[in-house]
Amino acid sequence: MLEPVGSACNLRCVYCYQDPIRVPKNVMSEPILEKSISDALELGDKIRFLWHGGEPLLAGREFFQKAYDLQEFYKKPDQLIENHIQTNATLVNKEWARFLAKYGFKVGTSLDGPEHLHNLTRDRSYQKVIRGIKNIQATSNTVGVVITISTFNVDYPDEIWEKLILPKDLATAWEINICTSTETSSFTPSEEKSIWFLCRLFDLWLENDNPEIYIKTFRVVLRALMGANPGDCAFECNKCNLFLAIDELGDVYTCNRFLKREVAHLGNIKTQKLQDILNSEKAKTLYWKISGLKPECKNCKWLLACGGGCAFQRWMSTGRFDAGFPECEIRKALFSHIENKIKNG
Amino acid sequence: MKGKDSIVVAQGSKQVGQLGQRILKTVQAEVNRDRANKASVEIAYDDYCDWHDSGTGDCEN
Repeated sequence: MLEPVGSACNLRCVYCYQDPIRVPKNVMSEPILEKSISDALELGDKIRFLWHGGEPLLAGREFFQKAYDLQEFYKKPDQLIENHIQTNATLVNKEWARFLAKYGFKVGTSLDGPEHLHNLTRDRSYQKVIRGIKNIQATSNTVGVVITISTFNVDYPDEIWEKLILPKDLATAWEINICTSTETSSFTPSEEKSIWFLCRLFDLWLENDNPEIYIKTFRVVLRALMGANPGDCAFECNKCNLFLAIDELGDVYTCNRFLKREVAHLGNIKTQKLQDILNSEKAKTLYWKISGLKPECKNCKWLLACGGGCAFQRWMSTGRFDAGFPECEIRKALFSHIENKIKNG
Repeated sequence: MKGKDSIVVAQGSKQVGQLGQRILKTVQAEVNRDRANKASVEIAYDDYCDWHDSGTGDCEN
């Protein structure tokens, strides 16, 4: 994960987990960009660059053109490179859309519901996001959407299903995330309401029974119930080490969620090789800490479907990695509901 | 869940209710494809893991 402008963003979403660490816009320098790309391409045969933020498009098209050119320059024969970008889409005009399509960027954005719900949490940006999505779709590129469930939209699963997901004209993939409380904000819905929302949305999806409507959140649970790995780092044990986040200053963290948090700071790419950072005692110690689960988790019947949850969320709620996952009861209820539905109809 | 608790979706399976047959078969086909690609699910773990906050929805190997 590369953060070309760190946490800088043109929106002020009410629940953003980067609000406590927000800094003014500072675009990643070319030497840091080049080192990040050349080092990352030494780590494997298949490398996925996920451009994140803040709002990564604030870095400008010239920055991304340079990034693509550097990838091509440092790419090994037969090496597979993917570019994904998570953007709020408000800056995606026709030129940006053509650029993203030309260079094969897979695009993810966020919508929290139809206009009256989305605008409550995401800085009244609904119309701009829709315009961005339409510009992307006009290039035959596709869009995936994250829906964040907060106290503002948790009462509206039917409306979100009917007006956002069911029409199939906005996205090819959906992900449902429960809002994470941070040091400065808490818009996390109650467990009871979160369970009700997720179970209701699952029922609507299952009853509609259209495989073209791809809801990752439910698919990972179904995969686990079928005996496979969920395929999402927040649902699996010890997957943090598959990812690294590099911010605009070259600081390296285990994950974008931990950006600017010292507890997960591993080093700086200006003075260290990425491979050396990954192999450092600091990284090994951190991954060992992250892998620690409560005994209740280790013995839970849902461990292979849940993985103990996201390490960031465990740490954020208690300051410890071996704490309970704050969405534990929500997941247990959802998993049981899904298991019951598909076994008994 | 693994072993005896796993849910197997197949044509005519009695383990599965009537709801969501098309969705379940699609996910099962994806799981079967993963298994065919790898000797074991445990090995496939390393290849098949999307970052949670990525909305791109693309986890294909």
